Amino acid sequence: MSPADPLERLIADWLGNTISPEDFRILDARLRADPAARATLRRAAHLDSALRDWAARQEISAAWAGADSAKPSLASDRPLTPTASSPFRRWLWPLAAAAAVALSVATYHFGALSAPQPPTPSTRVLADGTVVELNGAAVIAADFSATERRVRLERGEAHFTVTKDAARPFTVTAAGVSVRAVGTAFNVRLADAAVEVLVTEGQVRLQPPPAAAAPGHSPSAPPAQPAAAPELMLAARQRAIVATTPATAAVAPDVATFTPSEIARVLAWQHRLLNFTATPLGEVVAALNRRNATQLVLADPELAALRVSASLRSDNIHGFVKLLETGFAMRAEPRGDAEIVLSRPP
Amino acid sequence: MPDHPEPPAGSGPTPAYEEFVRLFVAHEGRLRAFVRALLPTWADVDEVMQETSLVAWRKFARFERGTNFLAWVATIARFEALDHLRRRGREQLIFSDAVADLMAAEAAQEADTLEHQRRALDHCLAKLGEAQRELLLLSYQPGARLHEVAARTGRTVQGHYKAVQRLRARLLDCIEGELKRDPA
Repeated sequence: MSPADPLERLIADWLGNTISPEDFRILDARLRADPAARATLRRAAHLDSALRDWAARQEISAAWAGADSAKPSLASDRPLTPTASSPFRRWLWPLAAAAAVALSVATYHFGALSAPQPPTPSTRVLADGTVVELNGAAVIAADFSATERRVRLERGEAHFTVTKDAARPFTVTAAGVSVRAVGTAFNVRLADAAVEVLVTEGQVRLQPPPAAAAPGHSPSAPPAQPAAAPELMLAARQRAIVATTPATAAVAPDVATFTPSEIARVLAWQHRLLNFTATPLGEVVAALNRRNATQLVLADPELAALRVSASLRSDNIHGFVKLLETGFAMRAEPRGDAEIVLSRPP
Repeated sequence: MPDHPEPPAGSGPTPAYEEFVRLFVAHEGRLRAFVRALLPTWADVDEVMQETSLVAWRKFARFERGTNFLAWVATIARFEALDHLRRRGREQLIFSDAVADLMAAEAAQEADTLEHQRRALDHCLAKLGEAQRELLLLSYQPGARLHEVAARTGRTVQGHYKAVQRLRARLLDCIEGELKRDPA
């Protein structure tokens, strides 16, 4: 069947979420009347489903092999997000949670996905107590002295929660961009042609790299010193993108103020798949609370001892609560904007 | 009998749960393709599959052993899909009952040839160029957004959409040829 076929076009528009209401009615009529049309839609949906599985398998394999940075390709600048895991996992984990200790079943369940797992974010605590969350294959090098703390981001993306020490400023450098803080938290992402800095707490002093010599500079004249770029103060929720290629280094950093949800999106990579096997609910709640603004509160201390097996993303608080409601008949009630109180049914 | 089996209390999965998971996993591929046919985006499909797995588990006590599990769970999925679109005010994208009934019945009757189709797909993907596979990879990775992928590949949204549709049509033709040449 060619793409020009009207039925094929209607089905492509339907599966591509671009169908008009009028065309949807035409498609519905065709499907109602014609078994061959339904078979065509089934085939197209099967292909779509198989392609998505294939893409998920490729992504996981590439992440494992570190191939994204090694091979220039259309996908090479795609950040590796542990969140982009196989579609299987995203909706299958509730089964394990709903039925509690289901380790053997979950193993069988997830065993169907034989591809290796992508690198997950990792946490590194520096000598001064600063906590660094490293995204996937990010690489840092720390160099601390009595008077300063310097960290070089050599690759990837990292979030720094800096321990206060006014006597020893904390500076992160990436591709000539330096970010200086005392006690604050910020995210730095080193891309091919830019460094992105997002402040999540406190403020930082941002020093862009020196600008390149002005275009048109005479080759016979003495080499000009690169002009020092002006410093920039960034406050919490501000994000700056600093160009780092010689051609664009003179461009002023692009600064924007982010909403909490935009910040959450940028930092979503920090969330990871958490696996619990017959783990006391108290521990599961503590692990989720450490990683989320929304806090779970166990109203009944006995609940803390309830053992739970689950495989879930660390930001899926509401999904987890829903499963406790459905799988364990718990009650969940919001308290204020940032707490959910879990209790046994009356 | 309760609507769903009692949650296992810390000593391991119950036989009912094991049976449910075994059945669900065995039919997951065809169920997902069925749900995909009823919904316009993968985000919709993921949510409906999640809800379907929960609802099906809750109702599993009502499933008659020995009958067609796929037919049973597809009925649940069909209503979950309908409910999903209604709750989001997208009633104009709900197939008529007649179409949904027919699709569910036919999905339950079709032979399980997923593995065969998957091999055919792998073979057909191998015939594409590297850039074409990259385009599909970007377009089908979980969470992919049309606008973002189009921008990344240097195409207009319309141009990107057409390029993907051409590749899909080519793959469908190729898979059909493979399956005819080497029937399961």
